[in-house]
Amino acid sequence: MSRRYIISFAVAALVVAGVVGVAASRAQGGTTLPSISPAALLAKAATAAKSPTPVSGDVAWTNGLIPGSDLTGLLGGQGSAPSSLAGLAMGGSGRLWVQPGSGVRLDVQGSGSDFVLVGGKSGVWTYSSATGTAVQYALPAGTGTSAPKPTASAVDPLAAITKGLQHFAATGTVAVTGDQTVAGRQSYVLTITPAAGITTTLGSVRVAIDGATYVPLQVQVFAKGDTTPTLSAGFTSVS
Amino acid sequence: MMLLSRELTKLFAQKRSYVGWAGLLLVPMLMTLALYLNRNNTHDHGPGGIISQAMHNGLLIPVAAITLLSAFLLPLLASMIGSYQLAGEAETGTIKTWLMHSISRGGVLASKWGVAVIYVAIGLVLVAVGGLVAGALAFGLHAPVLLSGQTVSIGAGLWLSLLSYLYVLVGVICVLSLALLFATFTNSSLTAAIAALVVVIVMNILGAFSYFNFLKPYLFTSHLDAWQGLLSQPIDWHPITTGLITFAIYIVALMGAAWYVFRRKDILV
Repeated sequence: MSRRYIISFAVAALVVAGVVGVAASRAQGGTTLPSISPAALLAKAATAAKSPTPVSGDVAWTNGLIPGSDLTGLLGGQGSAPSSLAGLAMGGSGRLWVQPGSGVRLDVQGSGSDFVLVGGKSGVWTYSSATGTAVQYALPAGTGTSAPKPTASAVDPLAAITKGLQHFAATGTVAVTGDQTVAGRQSYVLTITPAAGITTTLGSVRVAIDGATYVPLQVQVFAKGDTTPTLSAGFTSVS
Repeated sequence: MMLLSRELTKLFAQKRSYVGWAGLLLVPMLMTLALYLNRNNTHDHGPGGIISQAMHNGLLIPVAAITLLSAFLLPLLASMIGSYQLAGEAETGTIKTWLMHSISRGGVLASKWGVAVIYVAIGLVLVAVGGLVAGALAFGLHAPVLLSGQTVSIGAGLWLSLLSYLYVLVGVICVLSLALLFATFTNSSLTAAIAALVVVIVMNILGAFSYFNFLKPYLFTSHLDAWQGLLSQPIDWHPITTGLITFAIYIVALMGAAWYVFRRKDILV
């Protein structure tokens, strides 16, 4: 009798080990990237942002500044989707499509409902299937005629991340601190630390930049002395 | 095949089969009735999501019904039917007589599994057809609005509903296989059914807390909702394929273990 139990538990353990093994082998990349200087990496990222290619994939973001619930949804795999823009700030995950120059689309799936955000030149729309409402957020007046360029960059998060990175590099130290696999892509990790003279609670900002396409894949903001990111946003898979 | 047809005869001859089916049929009916009677109440928008949208479109009633059922009633029925197949025979003392004939134990186990799958599939067909008929009578059939906001044709809506049901069926087969495995250990069908349900509920609770997020990909319960990706445009295939692979691994492992135990089990009663 006891042998039967042992063998069936061994089968179960083998299956679990197999699944974990497959997941682990998928997570780790193959080769290491050639070393690169921070400036060269930033320049390549800037070039990549200037001649943009459409990007889509699964994204996830967390916000440690707003306390959230520990429960992610009882009796069901997923929690509910946010029903307004403010709900997005709590953190979440979804699918993102970016077509540089024309717009973005974000689809956040929850249990039984979706929250969709569409941004383009004509403004930002959200649709919540939980409440059955669509909301249009008009862009500030004048953006259409006098200053079309900021609109385009505000709509394109990838270009915005690249631009912000270049601004920040002036007041802190920038270093390439190795490789990391983000969203299944071998990526450079660019770590930006504030200069020693500046009093701040900010520990560091880490940006993972795809080693092949130089597209920023993940941004993490760390508080001083903290090992888990306070804010993070990035792709979990790129397609 | 002969074993399976015999099992089907037994299934249709038992009263308890019809109780489960009646319960499954009742859910979409009650839901439609509640939504229909509440249709003029403009202050109450219902529970939101698919169920609220079903208030305007009978086509969505089957999908709305499955969101309610997949959390508890379907796993319950699956573990009941899965455990009763083997342990029930032991309780009534018929399994000993049966296994004395020159039939393979693997074949017995496969036919038991097959008949349990057929039972759950018939239950799901009842939910879908019942919900569709009730929904059509109450609200009519219209081109459905997907969760992501797009409108698709009635045919596409029915096709997506069918795919959703097939996905849920595979998920429920996991619970059923779990119950069948437990039924090979014990001679009490209630014990096996409760054990399977306990495992499902523990998995649900582990999946509900963010601390155990690292476990989530390996629990089949956290994949049970992934069919909702079918209702977004473009379809979110990634969680669906992950879910199906997870279900397949569970089903093969559970049935493999059940076969190993049952093949050499001493039948004493």
